Amino acid sequence: MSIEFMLFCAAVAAYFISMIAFIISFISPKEKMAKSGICLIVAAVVFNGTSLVARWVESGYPPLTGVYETLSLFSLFIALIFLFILKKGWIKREVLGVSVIPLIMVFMLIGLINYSEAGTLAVSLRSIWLFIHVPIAMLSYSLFAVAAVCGVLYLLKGREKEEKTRLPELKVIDNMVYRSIVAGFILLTMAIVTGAVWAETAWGSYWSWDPKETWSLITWFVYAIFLHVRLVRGWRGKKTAVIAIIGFVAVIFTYFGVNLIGGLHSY
Amino acid sequence: MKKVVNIIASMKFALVILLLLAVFMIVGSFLSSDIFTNSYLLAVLSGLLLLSLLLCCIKQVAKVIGGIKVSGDRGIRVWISGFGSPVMHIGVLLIIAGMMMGQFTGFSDDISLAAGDTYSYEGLDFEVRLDSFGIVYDENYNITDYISTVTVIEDGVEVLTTEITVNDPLEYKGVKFYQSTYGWVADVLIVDTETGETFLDKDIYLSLISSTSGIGLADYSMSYMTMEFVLLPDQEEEGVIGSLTPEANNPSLFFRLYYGDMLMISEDTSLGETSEISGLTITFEGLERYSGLEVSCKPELPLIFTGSVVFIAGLIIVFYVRRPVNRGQEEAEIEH
Repeated sequence: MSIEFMLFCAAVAAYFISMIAFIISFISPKEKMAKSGICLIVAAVVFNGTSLVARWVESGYPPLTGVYETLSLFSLFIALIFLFILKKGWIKREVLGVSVIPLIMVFMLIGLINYSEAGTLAVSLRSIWLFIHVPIAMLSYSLFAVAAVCGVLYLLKGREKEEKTRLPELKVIDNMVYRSIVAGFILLTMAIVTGAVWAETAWGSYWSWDPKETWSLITWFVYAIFLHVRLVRGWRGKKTAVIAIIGFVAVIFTYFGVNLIGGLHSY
Repeated sequence: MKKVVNIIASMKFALVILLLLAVFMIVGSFLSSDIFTNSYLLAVLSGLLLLSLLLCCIKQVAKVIGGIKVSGDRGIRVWISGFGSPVMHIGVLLIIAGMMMGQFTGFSDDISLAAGDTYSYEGLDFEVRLDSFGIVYDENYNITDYISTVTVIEDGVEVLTTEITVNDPLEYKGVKFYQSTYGWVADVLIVDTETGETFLDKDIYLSLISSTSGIGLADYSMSYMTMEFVLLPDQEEEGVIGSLTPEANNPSLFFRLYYGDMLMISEDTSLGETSEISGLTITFEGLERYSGLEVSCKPELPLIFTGSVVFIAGLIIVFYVRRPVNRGQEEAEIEH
C-alpha cells in the first residue's frame, strides 16, 4: 500500500471519529468531546493534506485530476473552511461538526471507492493552467457546499422551538450563506474564465458547450440569480436558503453528473 | 415604447431570461452540443439578454455619473464602489457581444499534414508547412508530448520555423495552429492483377483507435465498393490483428473490400510487400505519421478576454472594495 493511500485512509478515519465525537457532543453537550472532535479534525486536515503532497511526490504531477484526487482536495478545502468558521465563532462547534463533517465523510468515501494508483498525466493536462483552474474550481465548490449546509441549517432553525435551540441566530446563518456564495461566485467566475483560457490554448476553442462547461454556466446562473434577488430585491432567509441548496445541487451535477453524460472533462 | 424599454431594462426581465437560458441548457446538455451552436432559441435569448444588459448599463452609468456630486463627501471607496455594478455588467456585455461576434467572424479548420505537406487557406497571405512530426513516449508508451515542427512561408519566403505542442500553439497574424491529434499515412498502390492498370494510388490517412497500441483505421469508398484499411504499427505475429507498441517497428496492413454485401479480407501485408485480393494486387509502399492540427482564427478573443477581466474587477469592487462583503446586510443599492 502506498504512503499517500495510507495517509488518505488515516484522514478518513480521523474525519469519521471526529464526526462521532461531534454527534455525541451534540446529543449531550460535553466540553471534552467537542474539544477532541476539533483536535481530530485538525489531524484529519494534516493527513488529508500530506496524502495529497505524498501522491504528488510519488506520481510527479499535482494531484488535481480524477475523482479520487479532486474529492480529496474538495474535502480538504471544506475542512479548512470549517476550521476558519470555527475560529470566527459564528456557529457553535458541535452544530458545525454534525452538519459539515458528514458532508466531508461522504466525499472522502466516494473518493476512497474511486481510488486508483496515480497513472500518467494526459498530455492536454500538462499545463500551468491545471494548477490554477482546478484548485480555484474546487475552492468555489467547497464554499458553495458550506453555503448549502448553512441553507439547510437555516431551514431547520426556522422549524425549531426558540427556547431549545443551539443553532445560531437566523441573521447569522443567513449572512454566512451570503458570504460563502459571494466568495464562491467570484471564484467560480475565475474558474470558468481560466478554464476557457486553458481550453483555448489546449484545444483551440474557449467554449465548446461541453457538458461540464454548460453545467458550470448553469450553476453560475443560479448563483447570479441568488445575488440579484438578494441585493436588489432584498430577498432573505428561507427563499435564498433554498436557492443556495438548489445551487449546490447544480454544483454536484457539474462535478459528478456530467461524467454520466461524457465530454471533454473526462479526467 | 418607453414601457417596453423599461420592461427590457428591468432586472426581472433579465432574471427571467437567465432562468430560461438555464432551463434551455439543462435540456440541451442531455442532447448534443450541436443544439447550442445551431439553435435560434439560444441566439434569441442571448440577444434579449444582451439588449437588457445594454439598457441596464446605460441606466447604471447615468445614475453613477448623476450621483458623483451627491457622494462626493462620502469617501473615495464609496465612490469607487458605485462603479462596481456597471463595470461588472459591462464586462458581461463584452463577453456576450464577443461570443455573438464569434458566430459571424473568423474560421476554423481541421487539417492533417504529413511531413512536407503545406497548408493554405483562402484569404490567408501565408502558408504553413509541416517539416516533421514526432511523438514523445515514456517507458510504458504513454504519450508525454506531440511535437510538430512547422515553417511559415510568406510569398515564397520562409519567415518562421517553430514547434507546436499540446498547450503551446503557434500564432501567426491572428491565426492559431493547435496540436490536436495524429495518425498514420499509408502509401498504398492497388493495380488490376490481369491488366496491370492502376486502380488506386493514394495516401490513406488512418486515424488511431487507441494511442497505446497505435492501431489505425480508415475507409475509402468508391462508387461500387468500400475499402477498409487496418494498420498495425508493430505487428505481434503474422495473421494476428494486434500491435506490440505504437511505433512503426513492424508495420502491417490489412484490407477489407466490400462489393455491395460481399466482403473479402486480404492477408496482412508488411511494408514494401504485396498481397492479392479479388483480382487486385495491393502494395504497401510507405508509412509515415501525420499531424492533426486545428486551425482557428477568432477575432473576438480580445473582446472576450477584456470582458472577463472587467467583469471580475467589477465583482471585486462590488463585493470587497467598500467593506468586506457586508453589503448584504445593507439596503439594496444596486438598481440591477
